[in-house]
Parts: sequence; structure tokens; C-alpha cells
Amino acid sequence: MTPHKALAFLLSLISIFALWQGLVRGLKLPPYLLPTPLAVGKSLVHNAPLLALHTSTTLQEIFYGFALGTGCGIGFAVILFSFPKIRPFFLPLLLISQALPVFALAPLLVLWAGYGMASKVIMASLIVFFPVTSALYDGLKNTPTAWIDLANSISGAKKWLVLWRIHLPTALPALGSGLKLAATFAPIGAVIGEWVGSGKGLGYLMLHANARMQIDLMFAALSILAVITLSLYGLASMFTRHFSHRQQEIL
Amino acid sequence: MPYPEGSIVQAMLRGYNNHSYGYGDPLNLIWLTPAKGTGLSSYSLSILALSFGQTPVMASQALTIPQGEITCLLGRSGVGKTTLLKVLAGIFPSPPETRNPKPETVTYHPQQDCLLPWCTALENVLFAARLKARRTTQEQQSIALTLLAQVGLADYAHHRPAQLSGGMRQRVALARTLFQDTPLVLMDEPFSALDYTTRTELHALTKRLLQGKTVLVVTHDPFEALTLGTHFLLLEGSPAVLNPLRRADIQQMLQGAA
Repeated sequence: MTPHKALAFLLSLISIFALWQGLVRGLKLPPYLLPTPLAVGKSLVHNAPLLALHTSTTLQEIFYGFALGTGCGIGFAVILFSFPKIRPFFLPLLLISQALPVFALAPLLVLWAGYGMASKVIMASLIVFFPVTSALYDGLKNTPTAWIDLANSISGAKKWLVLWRIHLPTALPALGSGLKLAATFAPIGAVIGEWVGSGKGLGYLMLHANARMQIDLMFAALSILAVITLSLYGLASMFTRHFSHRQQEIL
Repeated sequence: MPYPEGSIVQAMLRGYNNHSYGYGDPLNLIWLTPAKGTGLSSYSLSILALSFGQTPVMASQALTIPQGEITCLLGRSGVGKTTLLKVLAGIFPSPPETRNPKPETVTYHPQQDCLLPWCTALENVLFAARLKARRTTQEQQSIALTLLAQVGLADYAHHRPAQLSGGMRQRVALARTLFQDTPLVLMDEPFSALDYTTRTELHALTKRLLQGKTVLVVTHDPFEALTLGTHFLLLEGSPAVLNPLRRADIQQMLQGAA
């Protein structure tokens, strides 16, 4: 982000907070319905150790889920692309995996994988898997025909080297947009998993805070989640920009 | 015409015209082989039939292409020049009965420069080597550097395509073609995207560097054909037929157009 853009972002953030603060004050909303941003800030500071404890759990779940889902997605996309004959078998399965709402699976996953971190990691990776697979698969398939023709004209060209040196570099920007989606989805998966059944994590904390009318604490947890998502998104978009920069000149 | 024994019958029997190739089902039966009896001075180009699915594209015929010289293949767009070239280059999958030139004896020079934007000029010249093995040898690298020097880009070996002009990129592509060092080179409208001056420079360079190789250049520009080629073929009609042209015919074509 350029300083200019960062400033614009900061300004819009401040004005939203100001509007929020004014609205709550003006309408005299009680804090158990909507706390002011200042109250949320206070709660952030006041509950710092508690929030840190639960954040570390959720962060780990997001990280492992993101890594697992992305890894499987990349592997699956490459396999699907490299072996056209298996596509009719697996492409519908891929769609079905997306048609099943992951939220509906959450209770099952908790039943199967337990209350601990495993079920949340699986949730997050399931939700990440599809956007990564489909983005990379499309990217691999969109390699310019002229390059494929040129590669095909070379006798003794190794299939995996063509994949590694032509298809994969071409598909990196597409993979990047898949990762951006994944970055925003992974925290959702982890939190849903925590809602369904857990004893730790920001999702668990939010449920409890909600039940005890500690809406300021809930908003504090929410804001931490937003920061996590934004940072992940930032990393993914840095990756994308790095690689699309290198190949602006594609044909 | 001496067709290799019964191969079209075999191809038909084995149902190759019903076989899906993903490229619109070309049934290609084209031979480009060193001609018998004429020593090593020419290739004979025998086309048995070429069709996309049920649509015949090229009629059967036999021609000779002089070895070690540049033959230009003229024709209006859509007549099948590029298709013919791609079949010869082994890009379209072909039934085993066909006797296309051995893939290792042919280099295909595509229409665009087709440089990989994330690779340096040097890596692009090494394209073929980099698809055959994980690492390129010291020797291959020094050959590539020499070729880059020959096309006048000695100082640009580590530049990426985005940092090069259209003419320079085409020079890199030329070096990439030379790197494969095959007796047959097939070029598909190689300089069509360049301005007049750059194109003229590249014509001279191509003639000089490809000396001794058998080159088939597809072009729709009679001027280009006259500058580059020593022999000329015109592809016309439907299904298309290749007719030899003389230099005078092309000059006449140009006068007729003007």
C-alpha cells in the first residue's frame, strides 16, 4: 500500500468509528445492544491477556487450516490438470464438495475429530480447498496455446518440466486470486468450528461474551478476527502482485 | 504418386478419422522426407490428405522442397498454411502411419515471439534444453550466449522480454530457433508484427544465420517472400493445393495489386 492509499484507508476507518460513536451516543443505545468504539477499545486493553490466549488458538487453527487446504488444493489442481482422463470422475466430486454447506458439516466434524483443534483445522481447510483448487486449475488450463504449441514442437520435452516451467508460472496469478479468497474464508471456517463445539478460541469467547451480555468483549474479539483476516489477505495479495508483476507482458 | 504402402487404407480401417484429437480431429497424412533418387538435395513433400473432421482441408499431392534453401509458402489467410506447418512440426498429434519429419530434425518458429515473460533472454534461448532436462549444461549456456551475440543481443542476456523492444524479442526468438540446430526449420509468419525497418533487418539476419538449413517460411506478404525466399509455393483452393511459383509470378502479383 502506498502512503497515499494508507492515509485514505485510515481516514475512512476513523470516520466510520466517529459515525458509530455519534450514533450510539445520539440514539442513547444501551451498551448491551451496541457498545461505542471507545468501549470496545477499552475492552481490548482490559481483556488483553484473555484475548491473547484465545487468539493464539484461533490463529493456529487458521494457519494450519489454510496451509492444509491450500496444499491439498494445489496438489489436487495439478493432478486434475496433468491427468485429463480422471477429470470426468473428480470434477463433479469437487463441485459436490462445494455444494455441501461446510457449516452443516461442522457438527459432524466435531463429532468425528473431537472438541480440540483438529475439527477446526479440518473446517478451515475444507472451506479453503475449493477456491484454491478451482483458481489454480483454471489458471493452468489458461496457458496460451502458442506456448503449448511451441513446447509440443520440442521433441523429448519432459511433461513435468513443461508443467513446472510453463503451466505453473502462468497459473501463479490465478493461484494468487484463489489464495486471496482462501485468506478471507479460513477464519470463517475456524470460528464456525469453534461455535459448534470447543473450549478455546475467539469463536468460543464470542459465544460466551454474547451469552453474558459482554457485547464489548464480543466486538473486541471480532476486531481481532478482522485484523487476522486483513493480514492474511494482505499476504495473499502481496504474493499475487509479485507474480502478476513479472508477467504483465503475457502476449 | 508413390504413397507408402496402403497406409491411408490402414488409417481408415483403424478409424483414425473418428479419433478425437482435441484439435478438431485432423486426419493428417503428410510426408516430408528426403527424396529418393535426387540425393540429398531435396525433400519430397507428399500430402495424402488433410482434413479437420469430415472437412477436407488439403488435397493429395507431391512436391519437392530444395534442401538447404529457404522456401516461402504463400496463400491467403485461412487456407491452411499454419495447419500444414503445425502438422509438419508434430504439434498436431498424428496417427503412427504418417511419416512426418522426425521431431528431432524440426524446429518450429511460432507466429508471435512466444518468449516466457518470467525468463531472461538467455533462459528463453535455452527453452528447448530447459524442457528436456532440469539443468542446462555449461556448454549449452555458452552456445546460447554465442547465439545471442550473433543476433546482436550480447548485452541483453539477462534482460526480461518486457525490457526488450519487439524487434529485440524477435531476435531472441530467432536465437531460440537456432539453438535447437535442426536441419529443418519451419517459420510461421515470423515477422508479421514488426515495422518495416525492423523487419528488413531481421530478414537479412535470418538469411545469414539460417544458411544451409532447409527452411519453410509461411507468409502472406509477397515482399517478404521475395526478400527471404529462393523458392516459392502458393497454397490455394478448397481443398487446398500447393502450386510452385516463380519469382516472376510473385512480381506480377505485386504489380497486379498496385
